[in-house]
Amino acid sequence: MSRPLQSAMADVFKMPKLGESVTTGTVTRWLKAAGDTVDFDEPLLEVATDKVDSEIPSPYSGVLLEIMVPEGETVEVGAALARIGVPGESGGPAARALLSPIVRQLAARHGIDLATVQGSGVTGRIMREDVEAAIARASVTPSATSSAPPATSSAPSATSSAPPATSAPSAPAVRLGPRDEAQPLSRMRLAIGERMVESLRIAPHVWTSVEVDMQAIEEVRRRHKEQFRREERTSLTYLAFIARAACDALRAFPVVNSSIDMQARTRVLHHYVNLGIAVDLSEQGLVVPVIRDADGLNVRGLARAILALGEAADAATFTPDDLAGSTFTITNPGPFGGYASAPIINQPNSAILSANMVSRRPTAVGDAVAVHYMTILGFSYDHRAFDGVTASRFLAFLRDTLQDRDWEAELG
Amino acid sequence: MPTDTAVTTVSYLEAIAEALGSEMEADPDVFLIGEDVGQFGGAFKVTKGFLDRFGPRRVVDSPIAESGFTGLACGAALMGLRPVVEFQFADFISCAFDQIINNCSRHHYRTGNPIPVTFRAPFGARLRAGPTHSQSVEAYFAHVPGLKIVAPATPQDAAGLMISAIRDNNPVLYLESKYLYRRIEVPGPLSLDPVPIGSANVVREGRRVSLLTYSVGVHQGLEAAEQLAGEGISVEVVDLRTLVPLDVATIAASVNKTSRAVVLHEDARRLGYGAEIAATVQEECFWRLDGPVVRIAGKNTPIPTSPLLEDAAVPQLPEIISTLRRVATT
Repeated sequence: MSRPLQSAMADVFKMPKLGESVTTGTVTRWLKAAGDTVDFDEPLLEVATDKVDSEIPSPYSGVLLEIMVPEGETVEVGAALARIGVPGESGGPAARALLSPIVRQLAARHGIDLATVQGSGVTGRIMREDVEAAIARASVTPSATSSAPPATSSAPSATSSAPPATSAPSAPAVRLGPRDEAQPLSRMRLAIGERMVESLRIAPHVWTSVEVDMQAIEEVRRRHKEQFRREERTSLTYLAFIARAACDALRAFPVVNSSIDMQARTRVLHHYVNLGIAVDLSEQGLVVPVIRDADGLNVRGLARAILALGEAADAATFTPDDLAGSTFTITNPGPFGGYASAPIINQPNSAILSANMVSRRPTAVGDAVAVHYMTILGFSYDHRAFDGVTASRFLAFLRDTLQDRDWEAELG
Repeated sequence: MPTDTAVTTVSYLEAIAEALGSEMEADPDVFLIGEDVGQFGGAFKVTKGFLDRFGPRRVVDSPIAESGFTGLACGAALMGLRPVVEFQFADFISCAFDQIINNCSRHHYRTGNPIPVTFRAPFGARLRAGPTHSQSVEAYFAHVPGLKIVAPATPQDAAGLMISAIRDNNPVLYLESKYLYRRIEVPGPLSLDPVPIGSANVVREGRRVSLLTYSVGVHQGLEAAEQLAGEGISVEVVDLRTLVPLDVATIAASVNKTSRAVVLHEDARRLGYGAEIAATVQEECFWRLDGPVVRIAGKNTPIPTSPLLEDAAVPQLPEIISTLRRVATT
């Protein structure tokens, strides 16, 4: 036989009858405080009657949830003295706190407030099916989820005039076949969706790109990577070099590091680079934490800052402030092998850079063909903010910085 | 010889015999050894007629000396033969513990050489055979590295797993349910394709709770699932078929779907194989579970001789139904 499940209801402990002719008892002292754990048969309180003083053991195991009769008060035999049950049952249905792993996980993933879910278990417990039903209900009433704050809030501060969400075009309804499965979207997925659609709607995107010879950087990396790893406990990535070069290019081309506000008819120039780095959260979504004043950091400082972002992503410890206030963003599909990519601008930035795969490719060096480490940097910009000539000059500056700077001097 | 075309149904016992005979026909290296396997046709008549069919060099009646004939079989396997050792009752296999564990199970590990022995052990209770003829032995052997263990529930799997056990190049403990021998029949003819070792089978699909079981438990589970379906409770029944190596992927897929697991076996609860299954489910599926993994198992007592007490000592349908219902709805 298996043991029965622990009773999910709180038990009410009543004033016992402490003698044949005894009809009342006085609580003289509680030996446990509310919130304490009590074991079966463990002394719980002292009761005085006109005949005898007794120490009363607990008839239940659990947590003392509520003391209903204070010390010094006299009550009838059978009056409720305390409630004992499982933790967290301070109010509402007693079974509320018995949340299984799957119930917690589904509720967290889909943003379901379990206080609003009716439990169908025999004891009133919320079961997996109850949460699934709540998710299904929430997905057919989108206002319930879309009113929640977006998870990726690198929220615009300069442009606060977000148009109503209803202007987003909606695709025709998907017809569910027998081999299709409808999964409710997470809050993060919904937030990303809204922000991406919104960015494409308000900003005329133009994509351009530049090919960069990374051979010099590769050689510096090779010379320094082991010592760097020992000193910094992170690898010396291409991203740190690209971020460093981008900061310099942004200083040289301030309009790329600006925010457009058409309503106010202004362009806001930022005299600092708050560099957003897109960070993947295990393919469940994307956030853009911000390295503040990134233009004041060298390669080493940027590598440290990027490491800190990665660690915060792993630990899921970003605060809304960490995700707000970027002036320019880099996305980095390179480690996953992307050859060239056209990212969507992270509003209210004016442009976004994508760092793609670095790999060995044949390239012309003088009149010869050499095999060098090469990459394509992708660049999407808001054509309202500047034009193709600025974009091209910005990218050429970036390319020349990456190819020609004395990186050895920076790391040595 | 192929199946007699006049046979319309095949029992669990006949399936074992058919697979044994077919492998002996196909491979002259396969031989039987055990107490009464020859003249008497086996304690339960599984090998009835085999002596006439294959002769005394391939159907060897042994003295009452399990350790001796098990050692002989292991030696024969080292020399290239494929012995099938019958223990009259699984209870008696403990006499051969030393040969199986200290010699047979680690031979391949020590030398890299094959040792293809099949141990047939009729196991389990419900036949009023008392404490020394009703035991389940899977838990002892599942603990020993180097042994595979199969426990078929159906005639088709009994045949297919027997063939796989004989063809396996290393020792396989084949647990045959003597309770099912003549109780389970299926329409013939049987397929004589091997059933892969290490592969569980979802014998009934369901959504609300997974019942993980083997051997007799599969039939009890199917009956319980049928009754609970009438109450609207959808039970998935997973026939493990092989205990070692355990098909964790099939188990995890089922429990991840239903979020609830009940393990059922007849062997005693304490450190029974269900403990291993429950621990595995917890490791693989914890975040998808909607409640504790629950075991239904025999009592921690020897199997009583008294029919009433024996029925109380091993899992019965009402307990299985009420436990599944409770896990599915509480």
